[in-house]
Amino acid sequence: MRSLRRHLLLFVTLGTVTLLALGGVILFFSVRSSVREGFDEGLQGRAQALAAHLRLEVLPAYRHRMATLGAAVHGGERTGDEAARQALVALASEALRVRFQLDTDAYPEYSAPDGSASFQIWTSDGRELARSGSLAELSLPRLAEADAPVRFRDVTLPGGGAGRAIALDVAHVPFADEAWNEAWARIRGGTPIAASSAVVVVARDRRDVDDLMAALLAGLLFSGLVLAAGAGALAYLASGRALRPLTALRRQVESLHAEALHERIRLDNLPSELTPAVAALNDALDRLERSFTRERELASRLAHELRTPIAELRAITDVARRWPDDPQLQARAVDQGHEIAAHMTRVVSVLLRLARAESGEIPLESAHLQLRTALQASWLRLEALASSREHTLEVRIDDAVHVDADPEVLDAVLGNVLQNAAEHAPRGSVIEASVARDNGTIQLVVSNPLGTSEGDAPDPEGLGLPLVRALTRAAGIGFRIATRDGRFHASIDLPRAS
Amino acid sequence: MRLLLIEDSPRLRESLAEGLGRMGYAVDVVDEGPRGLSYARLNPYDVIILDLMLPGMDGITLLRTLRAQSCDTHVLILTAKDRVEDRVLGLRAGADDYLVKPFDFDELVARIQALVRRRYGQKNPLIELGCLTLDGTAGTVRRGEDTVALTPREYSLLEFLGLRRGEVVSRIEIEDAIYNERSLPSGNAVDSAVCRLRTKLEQFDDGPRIETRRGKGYVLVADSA
Repeated sequence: MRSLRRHLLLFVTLGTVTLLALGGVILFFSVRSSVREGFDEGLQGRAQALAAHLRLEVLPAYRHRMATLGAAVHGGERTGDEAARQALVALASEALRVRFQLDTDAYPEYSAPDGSASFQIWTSDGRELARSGSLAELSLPRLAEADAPVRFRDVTLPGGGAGRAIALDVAHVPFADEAWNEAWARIRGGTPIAASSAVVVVARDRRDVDDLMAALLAGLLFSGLVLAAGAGALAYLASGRALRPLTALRRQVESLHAEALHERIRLDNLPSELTPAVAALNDALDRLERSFTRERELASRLAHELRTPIAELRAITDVARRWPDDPQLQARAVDQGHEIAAHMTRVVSVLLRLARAESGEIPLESAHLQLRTALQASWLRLEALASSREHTLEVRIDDAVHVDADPEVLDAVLGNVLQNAAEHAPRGSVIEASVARDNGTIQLVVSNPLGTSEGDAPDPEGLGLPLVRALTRAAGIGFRIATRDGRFHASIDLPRAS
Repeated sequence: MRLLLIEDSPRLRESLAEGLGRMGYAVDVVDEGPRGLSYARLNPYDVIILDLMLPGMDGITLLRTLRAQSCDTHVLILTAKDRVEDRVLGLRAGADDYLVKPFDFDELVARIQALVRRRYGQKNPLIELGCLTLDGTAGTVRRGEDTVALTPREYSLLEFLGLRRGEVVSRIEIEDAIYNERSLPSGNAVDSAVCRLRTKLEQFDDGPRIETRRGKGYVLVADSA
């Protein structure tokens, strides 16, 4: 079974865990990136500091020749002695040498035996220029596989620890003499000269960074777990509190039963999210109560309607059984039993028609019907009742009055209205049928004098008038009853035949 | 015993009148309120069986009118109205009993018998008349284990005289008690009926005797058992 609370709890907890994990990952990587960036900046600073100690010098054996070619190039700048310049560049690989001089006292970390910081410098053609004392006999990688002038990589330090290294390409190592620098820059132009470049590699122990990141990760995981557990607990408490109205609602709904259908679920103190559903439930209860009331009324009417014929049948059979040797009595009992069965069949038929009318199962047709004829035909079927009660029907309706109606429905409606009048009017009454209004809708009024007895009034528990109401409602025909001027009036609105 | 049945259902009216008549009751039947009221006023019935939903005048109005006119005849309401408030209304209007349709004929008869006994101050349904026992419940007369053969009218006459034993009962009272309006007796019918019953009773030495009080009527004399 689906549990709203479990669903809510799962959703909130998983959602919180997911958001926390996502936030933790973003935080972790951004901090790591920032820390590494700072670490790399430090490395780069160190590499640049080491590079600042690189100097280019001309070997003594080549100084004169270099000076001569330099003068030729200087003159060629104006005369275009390109040959002298190319000769000078070609001579550079032999005449120039990169030199590195460092005061190791100023950088004691490079001498530490634990190898936490080390460097190694090469010329571009692979000749090692210098190395830190911390390296001893070991070497750092030159990180030459990438093309960038500055390259970083995590490395294993010579001592076996985790480290990070930078490789800094120094393309133009400067001369110690500033005048040579300017001249040499003019001579070489944009051409890279291997003899005047170097690679500085610096490596540092990165355990502090790794420890920091591990601590950060552990902190994030721990706080994430705590927050997730807290979120779950909060979700549990909040869902319990939020669902409390549902518990109260359940108790109210449980208290509803067939004998208390008039009760409704209270809307006060309900969360706004539940109010529409509960209002709809109350509407459904309204419909259910009306349906139950109709069923009970129908059952009550049926019981009332059947009491008299059953009483007749029982009295007849009781008397016949008491004197079983009287053939005349037995024969009369059988005949009367048959009549009563026929009457009860009619009652059941009426009941079925009522049920069908209320469920809309009676298919409706429309036909032009002469109202006077329809009334007289219905009255004819009540002849026995009417003559026993000495009633007469006075129809004050012109032959020209025609209505559009379903013949079966109209016959049932008129039959029940007339029967009601015949049963309840005082003996010897004149029952009148007339048209009270004709404006596109014919208002037929059937009236009878009221008696002084309760028995003269329409039986409130009988089936006749409820049947007429149900039929007219199903057929869309207006029907009203009223008592005025000492008469009972039944008004039926029928569409005039077009 | 004479009954008035006011009931608008023809079949129920006829079957009850038939059954009660065969039980020895003199039954008058009426199908509407106003006629029922006039019958009840004009005749000394032992019990009136009254429907409530009647044309012309409803049963409650009829009953209240009767009581207002000091008519103390026992009234049994026989109706399809089964709600408690209807029963309360009927009993408060002056009815002595209330029976809801449909009903058992034997129950109706038993209730009528109870009302008749109440009318004559008789609690016991067995009336001891010397060596004879009249069983109002079974509608029989026995001597010891033997049943005495009586016609319904003879039984009715003996019951009426037995309930009023020791009292002088006039011919008119007998006539009212054992004949209904459809079987009004000829001039000496009562005397003939008494004579036939007297003859049957004379076969028992220690049975009840019907004595004639000239100019007054008859009296049933029975030794205590």
